[in-house]
Amino acid sequence: MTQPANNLATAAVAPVADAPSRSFWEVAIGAYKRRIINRIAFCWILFLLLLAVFVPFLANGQPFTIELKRTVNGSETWLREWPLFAQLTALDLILLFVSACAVAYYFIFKRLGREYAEREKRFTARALALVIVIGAAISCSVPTLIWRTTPLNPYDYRTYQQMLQTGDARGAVFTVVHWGYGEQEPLRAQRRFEGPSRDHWLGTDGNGRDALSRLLWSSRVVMGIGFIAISISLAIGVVIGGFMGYFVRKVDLIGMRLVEIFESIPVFILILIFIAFYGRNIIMIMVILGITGWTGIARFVRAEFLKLRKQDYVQAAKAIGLPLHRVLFRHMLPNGLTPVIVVVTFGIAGTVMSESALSFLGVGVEPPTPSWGSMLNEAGNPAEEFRWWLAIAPGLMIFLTVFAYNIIGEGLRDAIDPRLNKIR
Amino acid sequence: MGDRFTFKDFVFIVCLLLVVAAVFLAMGQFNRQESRLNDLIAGVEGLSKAQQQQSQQIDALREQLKNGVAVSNNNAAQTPAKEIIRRKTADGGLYVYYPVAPTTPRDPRGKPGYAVGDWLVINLGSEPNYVTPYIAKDAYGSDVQDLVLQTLITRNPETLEYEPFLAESYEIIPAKLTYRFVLRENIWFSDRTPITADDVIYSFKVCMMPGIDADRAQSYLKKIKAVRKVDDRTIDIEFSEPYFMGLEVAGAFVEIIPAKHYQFTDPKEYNNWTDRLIGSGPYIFDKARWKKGQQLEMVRNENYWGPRPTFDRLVLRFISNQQAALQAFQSGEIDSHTPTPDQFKRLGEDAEFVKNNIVYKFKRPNSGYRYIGWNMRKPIFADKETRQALTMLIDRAGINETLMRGLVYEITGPFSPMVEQNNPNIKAWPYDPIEARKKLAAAGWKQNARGVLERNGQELSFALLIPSQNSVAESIATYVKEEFRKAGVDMRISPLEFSVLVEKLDNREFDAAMLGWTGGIEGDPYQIWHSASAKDKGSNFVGFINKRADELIEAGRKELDKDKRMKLWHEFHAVVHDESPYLFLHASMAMSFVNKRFKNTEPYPVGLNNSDWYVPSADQKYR
Amino acid sequence: MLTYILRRLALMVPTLIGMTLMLFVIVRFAPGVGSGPGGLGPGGDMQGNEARLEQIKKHQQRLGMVDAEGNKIPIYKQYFIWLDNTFKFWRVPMASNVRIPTPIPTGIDLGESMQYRKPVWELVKERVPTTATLNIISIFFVYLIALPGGMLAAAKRGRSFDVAWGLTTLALYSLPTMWIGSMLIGFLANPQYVKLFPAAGLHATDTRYMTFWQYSFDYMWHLVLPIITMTYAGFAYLSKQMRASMLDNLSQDYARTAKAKGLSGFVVATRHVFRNSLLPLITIATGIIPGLIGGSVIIETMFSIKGMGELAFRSTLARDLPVMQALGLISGVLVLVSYLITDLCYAVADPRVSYD
Repeated sequence: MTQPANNLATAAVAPVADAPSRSFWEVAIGAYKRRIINRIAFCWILFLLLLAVFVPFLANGQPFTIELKRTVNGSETWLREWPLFAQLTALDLILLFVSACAVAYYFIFKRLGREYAEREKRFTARALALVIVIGAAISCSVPTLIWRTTPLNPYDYRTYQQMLQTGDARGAVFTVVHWGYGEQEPLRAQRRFEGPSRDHWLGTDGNGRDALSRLLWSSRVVMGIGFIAISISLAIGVVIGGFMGYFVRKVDLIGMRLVEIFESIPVFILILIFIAFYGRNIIMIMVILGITGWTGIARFVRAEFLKLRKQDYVQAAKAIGLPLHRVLFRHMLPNGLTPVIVVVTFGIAGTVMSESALSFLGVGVEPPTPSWGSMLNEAGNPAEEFRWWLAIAPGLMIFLTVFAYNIIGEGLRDAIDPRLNKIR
Repeated sequence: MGDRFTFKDFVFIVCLLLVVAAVFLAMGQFNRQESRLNDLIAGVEGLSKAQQQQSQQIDALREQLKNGVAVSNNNAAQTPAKEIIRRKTADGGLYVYYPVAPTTPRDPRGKPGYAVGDWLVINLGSEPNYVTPYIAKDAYGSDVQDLVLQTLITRNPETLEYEPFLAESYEIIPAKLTYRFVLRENIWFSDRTPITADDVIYSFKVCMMPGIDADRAQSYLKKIKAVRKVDDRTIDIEFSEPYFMGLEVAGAFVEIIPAKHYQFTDPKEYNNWTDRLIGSGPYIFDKARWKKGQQLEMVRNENYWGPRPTFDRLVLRFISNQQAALQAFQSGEIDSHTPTPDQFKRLGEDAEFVKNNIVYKFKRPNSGYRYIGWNMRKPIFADKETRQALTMLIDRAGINETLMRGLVYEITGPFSPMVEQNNPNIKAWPYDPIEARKKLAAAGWKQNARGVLERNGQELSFALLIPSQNSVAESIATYVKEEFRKAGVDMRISPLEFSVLVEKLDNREFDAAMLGWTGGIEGDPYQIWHSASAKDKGSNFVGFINKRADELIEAGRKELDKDKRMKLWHEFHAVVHDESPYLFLHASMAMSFVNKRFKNTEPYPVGLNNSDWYVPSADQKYR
Repeated sequence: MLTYILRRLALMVPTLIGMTLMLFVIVRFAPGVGSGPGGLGPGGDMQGNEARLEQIKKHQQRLGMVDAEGNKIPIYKQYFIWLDNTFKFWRVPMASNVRIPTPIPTGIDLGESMQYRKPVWELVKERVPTTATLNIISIFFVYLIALPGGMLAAAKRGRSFDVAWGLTTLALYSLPTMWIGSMLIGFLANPQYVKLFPAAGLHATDTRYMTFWQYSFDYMWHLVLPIITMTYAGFAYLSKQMRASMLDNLSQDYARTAKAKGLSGFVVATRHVFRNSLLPLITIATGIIPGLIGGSVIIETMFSIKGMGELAFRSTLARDLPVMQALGLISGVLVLVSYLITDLCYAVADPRVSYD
């Protein structure tokens, strides 16, 4: 009888040695990482993000470098040029810069962060770093934006090939996929709707453009639309849901009516109406997808805030007279956002699907912007022959991306709320 | 235990639901049986009516025989056979007289193996909403009407001349701006009421009445000053000003309807009739034979005043999906099919298919053309050198061969090369990018730092509007964008819904637009090319304002002499070619698949004419 | 309970007004609406300037944007006129032409479609059975497969079946509809590969002379591909709900007692726990009703099926405002009514739930 008691006593009295305190998020991420499929999904999304950033260096009709024969002052010389870098657009540069800063931030401050014991200082340091980074990015990109909008270049891969053959150029280093997303095979070459070949690894589409290159470049469109649209939804949903949850009764009444209004028209039809009526450029599509997707987030935030407003710390904050926006955004929101992350992930998956569906129906992004959905459109027209090479690859990409996001969402939900998975 | 809802209860309820569903299905089945029975009864009734009429006719013949019949022999003097008269009258007009209603140049009667009978099943593509005369809103309605209604004059499909049809003669009287038509004797509607001048007057009255929804015809009929009855068979139609299309407007626009069946008090009442269609044509429209959503059956008019129509029935199916229509054609459910370019490419050139079917591909003068219009109000498009250079940058022949798969043909101006209005001496702008670049440089364009051509501080950068959801327009626009890019022209593609596109054109809020116009045998260029149409919301949305062109159009519209008129149109064509307000892309060819059992199916220049077709007795499918 | 229902019904009215107003304003302020059919007259002929202006005026009059003289009507007035025309808040006594206002509408007139020239109600009547059939059959199969799957996953929690089932349904949910649809059509309905199924439509082109069994078989044969495309994505959510609620109930005392008594797992699951787990599924079942409008746009467009979704899509592209507004109204009413029915079902099924 003594032994168990002893153990119990020892267990109760002896302090737990040196276990570092882990924040809620660290616990959740740890639970998330345990399942291998979650890690794979996350890696896939990371891969797509990297693809979106680095695609100009992977699929481009311009070579990294090439020596061209030019006449200077009457005599012929070989000039080494760097066309790919010369043709980079402002968007490419911004993306590169931001991702470089993100990586730098992650490594530097993750390391540094461990050295600060107090949470407060860590937070300020991180915030300060982030502000510096973003400020630098913006200030560097503004002049780029001004003097470097999309340049027109008259050369494409076929022209370079010709020059190499006639001896007007030498020493060219091309990218892995040596086609841009807009370049077309010459009309008379009759290389439209071709199946996979040595030149075009995934074949060509209806205008003679390389399918693989368009597949890779679509990742930008899809990722961009996904993130930006969901950010807009998040902003609207959090604000409205928060107000609904905090001020009950009247505001809740009106807010719920607003939510019902947006939900009572089938979302897809609402999106169609907006796009068909107000324009198809990529910014409009992002905004429209954002405006039509906030209701789910609002419902969740409202539910959370309804729970939270009764908590002690909120009552205390109100009692000491903190201004409203501080109570909402500094105290309630960080705690209320936890389940919202899950909704956001599913929301991105839904946005990717919606954008592909819209492009498929012919009301998506404008040509020649590539999108997986519009590639599927060309493949699957039932009145014409079935072009399987244009159907399989983009569909697979959409599937894998949406699947990955769904797995991440599921994994996060299981990690955050383990009650769902266990029997109590 | 007894109260609970167990699994057995669930099964019981499901079985109950299945029984209820089965009852509903059985009721549906009863309905179908009843409608088939109704069809049967209608068929039998039709047969007995036909039999009655035949016995009546036999009785009449017997009567006549009783009264004696003179049999002529070759030597007896006969009344001389009347001849066709076509002569110019004293005051510069024209008098045309056809003693017998003209038949088509390839009239099947008399050809070897000609037999009456069989059905012709064609696909209308889409179900018409209205078939009432004059207010049909879509092309499908007028396809049905063409079988039932007839006009005073018709166009000969080969010579393209107008011949008097319901009229036995027409006369153009320039001095009085009048067209005089004399109706034939012995013509009647499908219920045997004779066609008189009163019916013609009434038809015009209805068509020109303001409350009637006949926008298409009314815009032309406005030029008619008066329609007068001279006597029981003669009608005078007077215009308010000389108009070169006057004969067509007076004689071929207004179909003749029987006055007694189309009486109404309020035009709105007329606008609401959807299926009142009675006329004098070779086939009869019967409301009962219109199976909504599936097909419309037209039966031969046994009382037809002309030669007996060949087919017993004409069945019009409504299959809108092109793939399903092709399958229906291949399985023999429909007898002719207009393939999409891709279908034609796949099958029309397949040896096996060509052996088992009749395949046609031909140029038609009235198929319309596709173009890119430059908004000439914008400074970048203001000078003709730039516009000509832009045209020369595009390999139009290449587009026709590859993107359009060789199913279109080249045009040089707003007229199809197959009509007389077209000036055959004009050669299209060649595909010459080097020359084009020289032209652009000569016009003052220089490449700036961005690689775009610039002049006076303005870049040659614009947006091309195309109708969205049109993959052909999109692929052409994509190709054009690439070609332009190589020369330093920055073009963006902006697909818009058609109604938005139209609004932008109306408000002149565009840089360039890719569209098409439908064509005609001899069209009136006023609406598109005259400067008066350039203001407000007229159809001259590119803003083509050219004094010489205006003069030529106005003179041509008034010129009633065809040769002089054609010379004017030819010069007009040269002016348009030089000014290049449009980049003329191409005109489409017509393609058709026809079931092998039909004979005499060769197309005319204007297209296939299925009143010429017949099926020899041995091959007839439907009896 | 009655007061709760009345309160909910009363709350539906502002929502409906808000929704129709939002739709109304969105579509009427958009470009391309007032210009009507193209500059070409019907029949493809070019029109003169005056004729075009006249055509635009007539079109706008039909839409209610412009009154009889051609003056523009302000947008709020347009909305009220539309409301007035749709819900007839008046009645006309027998022998006179006078309109007497009444507080409740005496009839509903949904207007006339501009592209089909038919009353909207007729269009809806034609197409609702098609969409309803598709949806009901699809829901039936979803339930048929997802419920047992969820139950099994709950029973074998944590083991390979559970994980595999979860992943599979999630994968199916992530498959894009148009991809699967075009692959199915491209490989299974294509004479170039395998022609097992028809590519489009719901009936063969000539069904007049088919017997009952031929007709039914032909109908079912045409339904196979669309139903497959509609159904596969639905397993995930339903199965997860079922599993979660089964797990909840399996941990309750009564279930453990039953197991301890010696009843087999199967009997416990099906006879005792199943019924109590049905509650969340009721919510989903009443979600069918809103799906009747526009829930299956892609499928109907791909397979050329004339259903409600296709009507909504075409009307949006053609800017057929009366149809769009009418569909919006119908859709709103259906959604709100289904929310109400869901809550009522909850209250009926679970006595613990009380709204008062």
